[in-house]
Amino acid sequence: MKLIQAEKIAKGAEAVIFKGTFLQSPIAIKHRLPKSYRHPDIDNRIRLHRLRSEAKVMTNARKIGVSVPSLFGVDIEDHILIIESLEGKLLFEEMNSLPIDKLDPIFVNLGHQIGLLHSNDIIHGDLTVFNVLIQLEDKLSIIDFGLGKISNELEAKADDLLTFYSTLKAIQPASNILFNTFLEGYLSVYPEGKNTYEQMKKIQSRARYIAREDRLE
Amino acid sequence: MASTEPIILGLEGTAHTAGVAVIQGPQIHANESATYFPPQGGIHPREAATYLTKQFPILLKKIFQKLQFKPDKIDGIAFSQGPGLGPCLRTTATVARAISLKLNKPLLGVNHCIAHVELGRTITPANDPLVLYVSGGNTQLITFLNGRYRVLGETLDIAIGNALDSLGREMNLPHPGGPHIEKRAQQGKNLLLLPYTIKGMSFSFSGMVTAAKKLIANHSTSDICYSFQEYTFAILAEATERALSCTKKGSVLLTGGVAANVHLQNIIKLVAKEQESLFYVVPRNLAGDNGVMIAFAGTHLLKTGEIIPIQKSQVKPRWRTDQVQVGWIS
Ligand SMILES: Nc1ncnc2c1ncn2[C@@H]1O[C@H](COP(=O)(O)OP(=O)(O)O)[C@@H](O)[C@H]1O
Ligand SMILES: [Mg+2]
Repeated sequence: MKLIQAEKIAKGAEAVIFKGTFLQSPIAIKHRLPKSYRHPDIDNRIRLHRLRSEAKVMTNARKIGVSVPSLFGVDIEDHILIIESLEGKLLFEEMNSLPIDKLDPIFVNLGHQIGLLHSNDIIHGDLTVFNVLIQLEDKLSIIDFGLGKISNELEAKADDLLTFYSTLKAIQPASNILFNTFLEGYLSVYPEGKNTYEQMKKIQSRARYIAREDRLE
Repeated sequence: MASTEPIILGLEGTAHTAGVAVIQGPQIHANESATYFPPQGGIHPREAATYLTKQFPILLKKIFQKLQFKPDKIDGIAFSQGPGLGPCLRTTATVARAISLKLNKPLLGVNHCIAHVELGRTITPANDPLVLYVSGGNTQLITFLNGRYRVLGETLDIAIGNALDSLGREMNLPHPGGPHIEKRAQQGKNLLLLPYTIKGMSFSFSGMVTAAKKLIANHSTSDICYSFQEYTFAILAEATERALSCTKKGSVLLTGGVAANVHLQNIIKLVAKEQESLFYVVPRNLAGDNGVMIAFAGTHLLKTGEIIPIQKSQVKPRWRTDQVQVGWIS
């Protein structure tokens, strides 16, 4: 009998995901493959760094009660994470099928989860609707912590909000309403998040201003 | 002239390049441009505008001499209405308005960034690509979604072209530094350590320039050029791959001045392959700012009736890619 049985189910931006079972529990195996387009030294450095960050940040997030899959194992040499496999669709897919009133509670809950992360100085690093899995109704899990870190810097937290806002805006016309709903949830568990939001707006206007004149010096 | 396509005059002038072209459908009847290179330092908006003011009459004269038909055959005057440097935009708009009045032809206000995209859609087989737009003043990942061109990721500070030029200046390479860095990089052997940061699908380059400048005292120019390209292009590549994987677009289009960099082309080609997508790049001679792209985009505006009256033709220095109504794609 094979200990692990797995089949490839998804290809993300960085990793290939295999799903299988290990001692009867469903697992996901996340394998970060080398990328042909970057220098092998850069590639190895990044993949190793992200593997370690993801394992650490996921573990910390779980400890403080944020909904993330549990971590079963790390194989540094082969760049592999073994994590709990979750049922459900990406938030991105749900946004194409669900009416806006069904999305509301999801965005409030997501706001709660991210507020909890930030109040504990945990940064996601790639906070987009492609990295949130929706299980039942408003039950969700946050995945893909490879760009995550532990940091109390305002700028890092603001970057999370800006990444979330920008991708949301790119894919969804009703993004402002949804972002505000998310923000309500975020601020309700993390009142200091006001400052994060202010900082996000600063980064945004800095980018805009630069777009106009300073990018050309 | 058997073609039933409208004939469009395009005027580009958002920064340091004055470009004038006449096109008809995908055919380029005439194309002229001139670029201002400041003696030292970066571009000063006023000086660039003065340069454009001098160049436009010269370029227009050349264009009209080349045409096999009279200027009154032109069906529309397209100009770069934004985004860009205010003084440059105003100069260009003034020239466009004058020609529009003189020939009594409609005025078409084109978004410069979208023009780079439309250029690729006109002269390469790319139809609905994910676009990596890399130039001196902009670096964006753009794609068409929900009726508009959306920016999926972009630089949060300086553009890649500006980053290359500014590092080049510090190493005393001739301006613009980009092409010289590309050449020197080919002799580089040692990968030096630089920061690698990516924020979702966005990125920033000014910290990397600062880090690279610190290496100048102790390392060879070619190693610095090599390392700087490897790192910055890897970041652009990764952001592109992320965007491609999210949108499942199936093709990538590389456009803008820095698209002329062959090493970047090869890297993005590999990214496309990773995501089982096709790769397209605009031809080298049309990668940088030019009148052709403005005229191509203007053709769409004329066809959808998006003509602007002179009194509403004020320039838009901060016009964002996702603010443009795109009536020509369904
Ligand atoms: N724990 C999990 N359970 C179920 N599916 C998962 C899990 N983790 C990842 N996936 C699936 O794999 C895809 C890629 O995973 P992700 O961690 O986001 O990697 P990438 O860095 O490549 O984006 C996800 O979009 C999702 O469909
Ligand atoms: Mg992901």
